[in-house]
Amino acid sequence: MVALCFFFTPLHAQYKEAEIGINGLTCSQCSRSVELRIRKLAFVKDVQMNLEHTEGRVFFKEGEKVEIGKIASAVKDAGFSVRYLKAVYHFGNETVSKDKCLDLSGDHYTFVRSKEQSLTGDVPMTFLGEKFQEKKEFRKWQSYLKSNCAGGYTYFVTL
Amino acid sequence: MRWGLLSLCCVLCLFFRAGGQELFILNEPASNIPKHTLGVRAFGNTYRELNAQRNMGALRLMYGLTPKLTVMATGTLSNHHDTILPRFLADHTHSGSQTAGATGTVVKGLKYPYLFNGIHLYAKYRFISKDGRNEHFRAAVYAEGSFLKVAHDETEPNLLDDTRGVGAGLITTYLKDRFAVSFTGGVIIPFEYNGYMLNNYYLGPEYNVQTELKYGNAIQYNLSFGYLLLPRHYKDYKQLNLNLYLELQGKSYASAKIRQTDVHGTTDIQISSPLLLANHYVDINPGIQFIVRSDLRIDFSVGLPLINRSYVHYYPLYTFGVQKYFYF
Repeated sequence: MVALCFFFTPLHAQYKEAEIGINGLTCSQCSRSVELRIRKLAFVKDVQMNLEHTEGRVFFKEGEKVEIGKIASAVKDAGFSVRYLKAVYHFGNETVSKDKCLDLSGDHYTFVRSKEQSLTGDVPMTFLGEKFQEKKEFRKWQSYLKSNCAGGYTYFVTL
Repeated sequence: MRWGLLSLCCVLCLFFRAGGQELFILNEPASNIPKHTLGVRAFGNTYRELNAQRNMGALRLMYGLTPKLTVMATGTLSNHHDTILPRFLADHTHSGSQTAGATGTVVKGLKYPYLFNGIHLYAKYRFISKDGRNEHFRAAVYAEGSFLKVAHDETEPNLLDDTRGVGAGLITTYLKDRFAVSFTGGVIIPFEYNGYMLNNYYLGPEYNVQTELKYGNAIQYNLSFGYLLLPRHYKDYKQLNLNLYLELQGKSYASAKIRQTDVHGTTDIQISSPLLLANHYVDINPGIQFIVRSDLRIDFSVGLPLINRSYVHYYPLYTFGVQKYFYF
């Protein structure tokens, strides 16, 4: 019975928290707008903004599916853009390798320029792409962002 | 003029020494309201017109339809206008609550009532966003239109609370750390006023003269500077923010055209009043703004003439406002 319960528990709790840098912010009211937009997301438990450095830490609710892309969209909806986005994922001995497609919590991931390795425990990942990086950083990575995943949206990350 | 130049010099020195905020009191920045956010702004202005105090109050609702598109609707109430155009329209001047004609006759008893002027609609679309750490450059286009019917008796068009019409323009805003600068250039195409001009106080309204008043087309050019004075370092949302602003508001407009119809037929009227002749001016508006708990904006500014003057208001023109966002 216990085994069955474990089997049917959704595996959505692997993301612990995310850190996000926001560009274009200079005022506390703007910062508050970003925070309130992120807080509207169903899977977000808490947000701590660092006004001086225009960064934020996002904490997630347990058992909820975390959609990292929605955090970036919330920043955009508030009228600003993402400088960087990192998230800590709790791995359970998954093997990652360069450009290999890996499914984590129901989403496709491609690990860019990452050597083959088994990941266990809390590992920070940096998200790549136009939505998650400022333009000049994105341009450096753009040529590496090729998905080998079949169908659906692919998150590009690097360790 | 002297005070205007002095305050311009002081604030510009301060800006260039240190370096801001784009939550301008009078001019719109190129930035938008966050998506699905409602902004409510209550604002008004007041000035002394010789013996009369002229007041305007407004309620504005703003909504972020998308991150790039903001729409606004503003309703205004003021005692700036009579219910019909004043006697001696073509050569009148204002004197407190009275209107003086070229004959030197002071027409007594003209008391301007508080009237609901109408609704002003505004939409702004941001099409350029270049964001960096603690800085951004943004550009937006805007379009505006007003549904007003007030007996505005000067040629200068003002879509917010004086004249019916349409307008459009471009806004560019640059913000770096504590400093913000924004330029707005646009056109205003007012629609004509069709109504009546007072003929004689002692005769009935049937003697009033049917009048078409075509206001002058205008271009406007506004330049705003903003500077975040406090806090020096952000710690939390509870810190009181103090922003300083210096806003230049300029307008250049054409002369009015007046056509009147009476029992003798329709006549184009010769204009001699400076209130109805072409003009250009720049007002300077130093202002201060408090942001309480990163949520409630309270602002105040004083308008002074810098180059020429506007004839739709006297100086100093005091403007005040309170604004709050509601997130959905």
